Amino acid sequence: MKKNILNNIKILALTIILIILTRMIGILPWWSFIIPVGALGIVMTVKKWSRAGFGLGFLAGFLTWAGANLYFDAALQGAVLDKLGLLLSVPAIVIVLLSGIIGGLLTGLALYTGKALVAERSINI
Amino acid sequence: MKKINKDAVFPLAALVMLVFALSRQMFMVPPLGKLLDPFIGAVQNEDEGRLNAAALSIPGKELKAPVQVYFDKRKVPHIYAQNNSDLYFAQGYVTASLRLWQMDFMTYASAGRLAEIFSQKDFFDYDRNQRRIGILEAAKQSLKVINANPLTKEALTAYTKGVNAYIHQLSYREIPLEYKMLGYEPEPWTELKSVLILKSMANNMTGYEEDLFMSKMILALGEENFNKLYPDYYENSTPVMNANKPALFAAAAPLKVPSYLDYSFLSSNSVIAESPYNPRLGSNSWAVSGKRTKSGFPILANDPHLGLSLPNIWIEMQLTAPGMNVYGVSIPGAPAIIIGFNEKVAWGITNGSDDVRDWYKLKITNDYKQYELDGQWRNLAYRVEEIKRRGEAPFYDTVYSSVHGPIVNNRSFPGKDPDMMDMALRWELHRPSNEFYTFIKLNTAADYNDYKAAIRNYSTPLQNFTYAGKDNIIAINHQGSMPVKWAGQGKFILDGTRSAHLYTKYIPVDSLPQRYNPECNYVQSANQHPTYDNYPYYYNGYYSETRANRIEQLLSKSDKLDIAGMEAIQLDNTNSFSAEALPVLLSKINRSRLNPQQQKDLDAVSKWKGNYDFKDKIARLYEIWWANTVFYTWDEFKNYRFYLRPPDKVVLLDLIRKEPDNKYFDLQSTAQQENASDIITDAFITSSNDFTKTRKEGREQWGDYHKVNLMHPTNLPAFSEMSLSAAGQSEAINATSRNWGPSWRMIVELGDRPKAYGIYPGGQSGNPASEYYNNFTKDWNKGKYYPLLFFMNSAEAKAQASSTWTFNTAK
Repeated sequence: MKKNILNNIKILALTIILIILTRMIGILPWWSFIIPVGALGIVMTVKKWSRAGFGLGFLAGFLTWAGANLYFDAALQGAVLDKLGLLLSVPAIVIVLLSGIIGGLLTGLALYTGKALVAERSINI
Repeated sequence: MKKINKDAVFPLAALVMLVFALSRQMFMVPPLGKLLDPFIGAVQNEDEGRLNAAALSIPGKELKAPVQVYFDKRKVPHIYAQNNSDLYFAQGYVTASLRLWQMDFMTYASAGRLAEIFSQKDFFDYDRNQRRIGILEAAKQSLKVINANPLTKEALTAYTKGVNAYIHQLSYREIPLEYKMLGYEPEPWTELKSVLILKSMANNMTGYEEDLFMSKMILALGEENFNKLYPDYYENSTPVMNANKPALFAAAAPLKVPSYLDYSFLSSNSVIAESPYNPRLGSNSWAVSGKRTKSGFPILANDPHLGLSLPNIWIEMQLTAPGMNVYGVSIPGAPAIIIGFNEKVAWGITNGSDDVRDWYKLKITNDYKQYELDGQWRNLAYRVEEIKRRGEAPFYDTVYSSVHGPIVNNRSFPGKDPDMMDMALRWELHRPSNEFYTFIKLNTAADYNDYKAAIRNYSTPLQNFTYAGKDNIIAINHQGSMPVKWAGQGKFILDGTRSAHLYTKYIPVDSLPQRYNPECNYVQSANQHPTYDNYPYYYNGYYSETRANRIEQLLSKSDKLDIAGMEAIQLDNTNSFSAEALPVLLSKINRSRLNPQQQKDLDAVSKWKGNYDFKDKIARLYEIWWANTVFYTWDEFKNYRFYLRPPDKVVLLDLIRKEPDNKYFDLQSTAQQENASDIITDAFITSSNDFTKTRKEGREQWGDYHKVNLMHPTNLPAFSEMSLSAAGQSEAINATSRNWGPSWRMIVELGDRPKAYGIYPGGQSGNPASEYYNNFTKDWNKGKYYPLLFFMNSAEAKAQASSTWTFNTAK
């Protein structure tokens, strides 16, 4: 059980690192990170590192997107998130959450797809 | 080898669809995946590393020599180049880095290409109209003339290269926020785009017209009434060329109903579509000789009133190259400084406001092949305009044209007004012209002769150029292509079947209205009439005398003018017409009909001086009173389905003074016969009652009502500054209004070293996420001015720089 949690934390961290590293390569399209994340899904399943799936991927993607938006907004001291919030008549934090959901959905689906490609019959979401 | 699991098909498909959906704009929703991606999306537009960099090196392999750009604290770039071509390259690059989306969008709007960005039908119709009135075509023709002149060709080519150098090094992360939101990307800049920017300005300033309305009004009212209510001249005016005032005001020769003009000619009874143009877009500018200033040096002031927007229509900068050191405002997308000063001269501009847009009713064969001119049938020319549409196949629009100009509305594009069908538009904007030449030459002008040579060939839009030289010469020129017309020509719809209705000659440059070093030692323009009615040529336009009269009052009062005094004049909130009209209204009002509250209000308003200060508590009451008086007087015109605007306020005041029993004062809705006194009293009672209500709500200050909006071109409130409470009024010198006003205030005192002050609403950056996007607006609204840092050499500029960019030529 404890090992499982530890493994999941490792996969979570690995996913976040993969997303960030991929996005550091400027010429790749914005969605490019789903490929290494999908690959991770394959490897971790084949190597039986973890049985984690969509949920873990979602969490990793959510944390990366929302966290990075918050980080850049604070570091660059601009007003973009506030203005986007104004556009939709919501507070800026809703924009951050929305970005988190987008990042989460994509990462979760990517990890799950990778896993599903090679998994045994019974898939544990 | 394991088999691929079928269970992966669904998540894979979902993933692909999600990526696809989030990469595209759909149903007005921006491409959210890209937009909210923290690594390249909107949040990255907060990155101002370049603008704030202490030192930034930029590759400039197209340049002949290195160029330095020193940004001062307000992020005004001071560009130091070693030749003109490098200078305009850097101007293009720097302008694009601050305002790329704005200037690019302006070219889409000007050319009629908005359907490429927006999929709604309205934009497609807008594009068709824009093509049909011929802006894009005119820009193409003008570009030929511009390229034929080595000076302007060099500037435009270099500027274009500079803008493109900036665009080419942009990644998606760095493109302006608006592109990300609207889901498209910057295209390469072209010389044509710069011309489209100037055509867009010309369109804003000369796009207004009343030809059909005037034609119907003269038929409806008859000659006598028409000439009285819609005269070409007014008695109380201070024209640009205010010399040779006629001893007796004759109101010019009255216009006759042109013989061809009748209802069948116009096929009347249609509703006139409201014009999107604003005839009151105006400006103030004056120059005072050193003989009238405290310092002994001349002072020039200019505040062009244009649509107020975020980003502002202007961008401030200093341009320096051998033989040139000029400071002022430039229009993003166009080279050179448009309004500004150098070490020796300063110049300002205001709109000439003349009518240079005329319509000809044509006789056309049913198949649009031929039209009649002087009894002969001639072939209609045509061109096909390709209008690209987002998400749809391109549309090919055939635009016919006669010798007069393009036929804007025809069977395939009927427009809003059936009477405008099959009419050809003749517009000075269509004639190829090279305005860049004027501005580039003004930038290096050293004296009056240089100034005259620079503006001599300037043609459209007609402007009043104000000039002051260090040597104490001042001048003003109503400059541009002013056709020679017969009385009334162009005020009404013209007959396209007669070549006699086409004008072929223009008023010679030397005969255009102008003044040079007048005895009063100042010159001024504020969109008023260029001349008295004794000018030998006929012209008409959309002039406004109120601000000019007030400027005259203030300038003539003092012979010790200084910069602070000039600021006070630019910020003057008095409407001189209101001040003139109030005593007349007071003399006519019937006090006995008022209740105690109304009498109290009347006592208060009687002390008012026409002042629209922010805290003034009477201005609003007067405004409603006057508006009601206008409404009650001209109530009979509401029956005309083509009604566009009442006679000028000056006409009404004159009528109250001289003919208080005139039939127009009679209200249509009552059985009894009213006179001026009755309706003025009625108007006051209503306004006092209205005002009492709002006073109870705690809103009685002028600033509570008078709101200014600085709109982003997309009209998104989040990117705009909305409902800014402001002092001033549309006809005060401080001509603030709901969506237009002083777009740049500048005051320059020439001397050993020019002393200059200025401000515009907005900020240097066009990036809504930037701290420099809207940082001037508060100070502008408070009436503050910034010292304009005019550096005499690069060492001075360097010493004050908050950031420095260097363009390196190294390959």
